Amino acid sequence: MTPERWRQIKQIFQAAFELPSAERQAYVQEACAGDAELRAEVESLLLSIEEEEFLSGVAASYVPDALAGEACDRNIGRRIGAYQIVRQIGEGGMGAVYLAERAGEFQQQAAIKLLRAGMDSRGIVSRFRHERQILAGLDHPNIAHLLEGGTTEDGRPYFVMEYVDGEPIDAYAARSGLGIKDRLRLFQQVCAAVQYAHHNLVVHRDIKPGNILVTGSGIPKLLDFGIAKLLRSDVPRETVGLTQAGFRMMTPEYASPEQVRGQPITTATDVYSLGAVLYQLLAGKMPHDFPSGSPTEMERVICETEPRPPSQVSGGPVARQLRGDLDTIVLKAMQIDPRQRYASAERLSADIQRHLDGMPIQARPQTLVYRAGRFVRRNRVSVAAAALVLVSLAGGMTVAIWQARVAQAQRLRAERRFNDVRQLAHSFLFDFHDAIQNLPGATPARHLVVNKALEYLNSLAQEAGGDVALQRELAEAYIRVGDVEGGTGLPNLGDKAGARQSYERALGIAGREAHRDPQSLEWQRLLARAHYSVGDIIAPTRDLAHAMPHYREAVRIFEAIAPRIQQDVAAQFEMVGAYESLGDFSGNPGFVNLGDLKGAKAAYEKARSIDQAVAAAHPDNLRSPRGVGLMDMKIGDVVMGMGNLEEGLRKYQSAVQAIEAVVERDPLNPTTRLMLGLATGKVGRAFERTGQTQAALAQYKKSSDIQRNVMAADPQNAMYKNSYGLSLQNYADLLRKTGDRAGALARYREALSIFQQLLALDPGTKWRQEECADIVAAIGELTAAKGRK
Amino acid sequence: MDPHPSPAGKVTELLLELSGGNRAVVDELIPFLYRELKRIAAAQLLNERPGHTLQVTALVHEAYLKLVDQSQVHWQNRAHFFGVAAQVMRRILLDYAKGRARAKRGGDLRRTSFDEALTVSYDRAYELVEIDEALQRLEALDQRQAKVVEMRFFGGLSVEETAEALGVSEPTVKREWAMARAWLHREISPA
Repeated sequence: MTPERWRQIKQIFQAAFELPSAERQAYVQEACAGDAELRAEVESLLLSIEEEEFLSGVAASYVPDALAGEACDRNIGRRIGAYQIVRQIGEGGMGAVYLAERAGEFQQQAAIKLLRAGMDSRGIVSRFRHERQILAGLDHPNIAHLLEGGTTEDGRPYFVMEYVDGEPIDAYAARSGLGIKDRLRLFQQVCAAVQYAHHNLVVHRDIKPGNILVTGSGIPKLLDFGIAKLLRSDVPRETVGLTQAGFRMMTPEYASPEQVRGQPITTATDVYSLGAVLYQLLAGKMPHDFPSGSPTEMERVICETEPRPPSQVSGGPVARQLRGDLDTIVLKAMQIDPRQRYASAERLSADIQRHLDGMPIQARPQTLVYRAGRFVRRNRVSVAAAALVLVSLAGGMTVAIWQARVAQAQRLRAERRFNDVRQLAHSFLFDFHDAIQNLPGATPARHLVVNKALEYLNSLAQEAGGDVALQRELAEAYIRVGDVEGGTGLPNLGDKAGARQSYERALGIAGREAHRDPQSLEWQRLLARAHYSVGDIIAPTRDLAHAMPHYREAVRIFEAIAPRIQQDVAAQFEMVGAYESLGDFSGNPGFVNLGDLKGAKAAYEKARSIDQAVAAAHPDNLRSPRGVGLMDMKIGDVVMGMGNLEEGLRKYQSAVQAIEAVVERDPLNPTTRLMLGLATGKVGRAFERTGQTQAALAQYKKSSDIQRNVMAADPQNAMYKNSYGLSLQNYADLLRKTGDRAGALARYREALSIFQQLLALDPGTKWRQEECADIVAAIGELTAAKGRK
Repeated sequence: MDPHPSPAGKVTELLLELSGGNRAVVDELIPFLYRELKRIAAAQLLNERPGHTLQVTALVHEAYLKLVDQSQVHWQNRAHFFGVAAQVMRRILLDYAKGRARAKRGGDLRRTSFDEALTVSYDRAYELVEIDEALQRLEALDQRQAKVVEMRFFGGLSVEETAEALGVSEPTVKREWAMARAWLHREISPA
């Protein structure tokens, strides 16, 4: 409105105002002379006169407490130290804050925190004396300076601080419409102040937006540094909880779990509160909700729950900016376990800087397990790479385990960590391992993965002795590690000694737990499994005296629980495994054995019948028909040993038929292909024994070709190597007999080099040494014969 | 010369300067009045029954008696004093009302510690803040009208005292008051 217009309105209005109200309208109409806008303006003002209530009272009646609030406050005008109190600028649980002036000098303003009478004044004063040098020495542009402190003549403690004319950081950011980046930069200045104080061994203990004022020129200043410590009550620590007086000094929204629990305060406490302030700045909401507001609820919420990621509560377009880095940074600072937070305010600020610079931040999101799981699903094929990435992904986990262990005081937090690690180990052990187990070339990856899992579980077991479920996972992990190291029937690394140790550990755990809880089916199964696994490792060393009891015990346990595991396919396979091994070492001529052919045949037949039943019940299952083929093969071995060559050949041929059917359905499975190679070799052996040499040679060739392919797909695999070597040896033996010296020599040499590699891996294996010696002798003989020729 | 004159001596001195036409001394007067008014209010209320209405006029008068050496001043000086006092009252009330209004709107209360929580009594702080904001707009249009509102509404001065302080006639004060009141009302009414 122009001054000219105002004058016009004013003139007409005031003239009309002098008239009786009945005449006003006519006057205004005339005076405005067709200026409709002017007339509307004046008329609307005249209408407002009728509002007689408006401004009828004095302003003071609108805010009766404005003066009454300080009515009882005789401190206004009071002199404290060198200062005179002017007015109250804040009120808190401990007392009030006043604006004060240095007596007689209006320009020298200060804030005085005057504590309530009765607040442990002697303790505060003596603590203040101890700390005033440090507190007064805090000289930082973002810290409000402590000027002096003491007690008033009536015994009330007070502190005089630099007066900061500003508004709380969150209000400032909102009012100034600061964007996320500007908020972060503002916050970094706060971090710098906190870091400075920490360097000077001062912890703030009560960082909150109300204590971070931003001046008109946009400079944040931290108030009350170190004051909270001076004010702490002398209640013994263990009784200080939320419900205790000590907590009232805190601001629950920004208080750390350790403060709520009355646990020791460290610089990590300030890091937590900084995180909470950052949360507020970014999300525009408090990190925690206390619907009922009761102290117990607050304690529970603060100590047990992680705030929702800021991006999830902020809403709007800002959410997108917060998702990812900033969520992670805030939640890292606000970890329940102090050790999980940023190590310092500086680190927090540095990660913010990285984010601002577009660099990767150092904090890691807490969803390792989820990510690992996703990774496995996406990368099943690129196994080795996947394993390496996974393990490096989990690199932080060793630290996590350590933290989980040391944080016993932080039980809940530790438990969560514990479960994360455990879940990760579990997914390594089962999901990931199983996903790659049948892929060619996967052996080193499996080893890496399983070992990692074991490492985690071992650490966990050290702190959770009484956790039965964990013990079970641990036992299973040991068995799997043993399998990968040197187990039978699966690709392995040929590390028999390591495998034996792993299996024996599993056996130790299972034995102890099964003894403690004899009714537990799980433990019986694991115990049986551990028994035959140990047997499988010992038996090839010819130490049958030690191996056989393990097999018998395994079979005995399975027989005892058989009715309870009929529906459990995995348990059925384990039972088959136990019978198979028992058969192998009882009387299979292909193994070091006790010479009990009948017992061996019976064991194999038992295993075969179980496989057949499973195959019938689960037509999609490939392992059971393969098992039937395997058992045919082994029954053939025993029957051959009994001298029944014709029946042996038939058994072998039916084995090849059964396994070929499985290979057709699952051509990439190396184990099945290996088995086909073995069965084919056995058919060759039977032909050889029955004098059908050419048929035998054809089968041997076919067998070693199959096995070479299997080995080539996974060159690290000791079992494939061994098996291929043996097929070469069989083939060479017959070639030698038929006079094909060159063919025999070539195959012996190849077999020897393979066996020597295996011997290097497992130097103690006597039969291997003997086998190598046999081959060396054969080579020597052939070479000599060649030379003589 | 006493380098640290008593508040009364200093206020009287400043008041005389103000009456002599030096408007700049108002800024110096304000802190004295701020303190004194609050102190008097506190003392008044201590002796009153709860639930009484604060007599702002009496408050200002008492401050005048306490802060000004009566032997040195004329009635015009008193009017000037009242003018500054009204300005100070406005500041006192707004300082309080702004904090109050913010607390009510922003839910600021939850942020503070437990035992200071929620001694909220019904007040019209927000309304007062609105009036003040509208009054600032009026100041830009018509300084005298705004002054009338400050003195009458915030300072609790009578028409006569307001006329004295502004050096205008009583009818003028009435006319200005009427229009200012109408204008402010229209300003803060929802459109």
